[in-house]
Amino acid sequence: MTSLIARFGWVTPVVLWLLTLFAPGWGFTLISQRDIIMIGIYCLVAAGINLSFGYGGELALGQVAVMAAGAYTSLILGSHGHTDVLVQIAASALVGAVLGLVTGLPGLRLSKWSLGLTSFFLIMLLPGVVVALRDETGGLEGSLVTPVTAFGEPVLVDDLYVLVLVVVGLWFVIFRNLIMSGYGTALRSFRANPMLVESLGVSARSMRLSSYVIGAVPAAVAGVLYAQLAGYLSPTPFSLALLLSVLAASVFGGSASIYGPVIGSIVLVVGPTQIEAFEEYSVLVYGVFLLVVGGLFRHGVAGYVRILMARITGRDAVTPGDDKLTPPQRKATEMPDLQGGSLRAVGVSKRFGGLQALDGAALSADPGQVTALIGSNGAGKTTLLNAISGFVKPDAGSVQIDGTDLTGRSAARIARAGVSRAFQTPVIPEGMSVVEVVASGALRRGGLVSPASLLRLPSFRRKRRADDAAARGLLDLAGLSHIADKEASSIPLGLRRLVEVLRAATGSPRVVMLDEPAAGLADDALADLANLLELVKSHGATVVLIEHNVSFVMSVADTVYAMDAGRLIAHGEPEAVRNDPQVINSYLGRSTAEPEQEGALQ
Amino acid sequence: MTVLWAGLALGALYATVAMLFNIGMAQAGVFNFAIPQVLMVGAFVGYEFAGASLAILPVVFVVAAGAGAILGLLIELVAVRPAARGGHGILITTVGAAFVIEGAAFIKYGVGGHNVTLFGWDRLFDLLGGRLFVVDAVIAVVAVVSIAGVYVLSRRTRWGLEGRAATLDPESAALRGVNVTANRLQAFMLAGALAAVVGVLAAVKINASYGLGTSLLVYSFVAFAVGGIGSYPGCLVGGVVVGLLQAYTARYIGAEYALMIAFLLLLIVLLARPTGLLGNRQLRIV
Repeated sequence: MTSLIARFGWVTPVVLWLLTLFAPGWGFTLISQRDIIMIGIYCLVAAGINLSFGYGGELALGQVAVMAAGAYTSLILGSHGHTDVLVQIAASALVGAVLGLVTGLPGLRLSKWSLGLTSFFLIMLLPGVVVALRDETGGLEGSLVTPVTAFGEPVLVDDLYVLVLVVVGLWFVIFRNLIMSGYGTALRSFRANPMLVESLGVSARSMRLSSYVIGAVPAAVAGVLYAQLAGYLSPTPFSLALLLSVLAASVFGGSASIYGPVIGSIVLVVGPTQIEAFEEYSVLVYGVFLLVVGGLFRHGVAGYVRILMARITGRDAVTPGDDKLTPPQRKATEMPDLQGGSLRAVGVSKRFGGLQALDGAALSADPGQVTALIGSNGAGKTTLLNAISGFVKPDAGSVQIDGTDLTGRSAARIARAGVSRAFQTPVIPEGMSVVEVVASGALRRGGLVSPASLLRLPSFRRKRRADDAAARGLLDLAGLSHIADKEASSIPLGLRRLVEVLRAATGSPRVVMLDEPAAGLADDALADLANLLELVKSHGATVVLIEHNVSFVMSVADTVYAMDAGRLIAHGEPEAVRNDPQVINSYLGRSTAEPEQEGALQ
Repeated sequence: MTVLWAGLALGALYATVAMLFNIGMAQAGVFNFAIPQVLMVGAFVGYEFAGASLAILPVVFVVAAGAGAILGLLIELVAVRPAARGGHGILITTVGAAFVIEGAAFIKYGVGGHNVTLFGWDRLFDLLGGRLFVVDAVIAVVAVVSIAGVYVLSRRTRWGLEGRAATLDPESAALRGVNVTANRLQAFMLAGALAAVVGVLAAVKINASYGLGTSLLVYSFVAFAVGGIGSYPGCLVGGVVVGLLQAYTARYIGAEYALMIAFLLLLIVLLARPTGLLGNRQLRIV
């Protein structure tokens, strides 16, 4: 059932689209053509908001300003005799992309709220710009729009209807294929935590900027269509009120959804935007509508439909019994070799202000081994991991994997070179199933956006099936096959840690680095984690882990490194390190009664 | 000199609205879009009193403050609390609350602006070679005093500390015994009361109309962001900068360019210093 919905979920929208396309010919006039065109325009803008805001979590709300830019581009091109609609759409899309990039640049520096509010008020600048360019734009009084042509023929109202439907249809194909591919996975991971997407080999900056650009393009194209529908262009319609109704359409339909904007746009265009009928009550009624949508209807229509579907298909949250593991169906020998590499970090130093966090620290790790890093809080363990994986640029020292020097590269590039990472606090994106989260580790091998993924070519499908099968295989061996299709963000801590380890082990990493994977786990979950580490290690992975649970370290590690004040103080066999006087002094501690010492360690 | 006074008076008004935004931001991490509308309601309280025999200063201000506090309470209960559980729903609901208040005022008072004369504050007087209205001087004093007062409240009292803790991390604050919800409610009531009092002054300075709040929204936001989100002294600096910029732009370049230039300033300041001129690095609103 689940796979059927995933496989053929596209059929319903396509059928509805075809029905809408042919409806006027069949004399269907429940909603006027003009309103349907307007719904299409809303859809385009709202879908752009869904991409950058709903999926990417970026509060970039310049869409109506971009829409106005698209409309005026069309107006100016038309008045200079460039009436071909394809030319106008292409030019406006380009203008929209550039504007999305430019208005998004502050987002690289601003916090979410300042970006959101600054871009929110961007539309207020429009009248000033239009007046400044009044020779081209017609100023505040506005200007007549030259009707467009398609292939040399004039575009009449009926043609505009078809044109809008074609553009909207095309955009939703692109939008859906983007979201349901590596890019969508990366976008959701970015939303959960920019560091997560970096650890998956994708630069957070490129995610941020690309979401602004891709989110702006449909808004600009919507501007062209709007200009044609209105026939007359002035700055008045591009108001904060329009931005709000599009935002409300996005939220009402469901911001983190593909087809939600369609539902939201229908409701907004047929409903609140036409309440001039109420005349003096319109503002008040609209306010109440926003209150209800934002307060009581947070998941949007699509969100509630998804919750309902999840209940029916059993893809919903895990239930209490689910933290028991299921015996694997496969034999451990069926698991492909993980092909770890040799990590050599030497003389790594890092200073934060007056604090020497790392002072010539070193770490070596080899395939088929678990290398543990211990030390008291503040000893520099996580900083060393961050320096190796590129989240912190070391001041000195070198990091190599199989002889390839990675020192000073960005986190995303180091991740692509094969260093995978799980964080101290588990980061699991929302709206993804467990198997999708595990498969997202494959992003490290690239293939974020490709023509093959947009066009759904067989090569893309093959890769996706292979990733899915590999993730399911891993889940089965880890004893997690029973939660493979559950909502990943709902699973309890113990299972979360296991899923994070699996994600880190996916995508052929050369080194798997885990930051305190056992923190906060109960005994059962600890044993499950130890088994999983054993499994991964026995298949040739290079595992590095930071851990405070000493008995756990002693049981899983082959080599132990002990750190204090940014320096390596001991390394070697677990037993040898445990009995090292320096390690006992700085970290393990010595009890006053000598005989109890052994007991304290176990 | 008159342009300077006009700019400073305008700036003082923006500074107070920025301060009202900042109470929500610093104390609860919420940008309250509806607070300028509470100010507008305060303006109509002034309008209702104008000409009445009860129009003595303490009565008007107490009634306005009371009405404002109740509105603040309602906004928190209706718009913020249901949406506070996550997501950016608050962005929509506080705008919704703003529309409800604006729409109600529109139904009751119609489109036009109503001139409000109270306490004889609409008189002009000369100061250092320029002319200004009495109400402008009152607004300037109120701006400085109220911003200083709220600053002390935020920095020197347990209530302020608890609110700032709740803004940074509501969960850990709650675990340490901070009643995050009650603190937010109080912050909204305080902002509401102050907003309505300033509204009475704004009614005398500008007029009472349903669009008053909206007309102050954008410039005040620019002042707020330029000064630095989270910083009370920043509100004052941002307000004065934006007020002066608007007054001088209107005088020497043309009123229609004032907003563009204010926005240009905002972009430049934010790109150079993302936290605003006096923004607190510790208090990054994320």
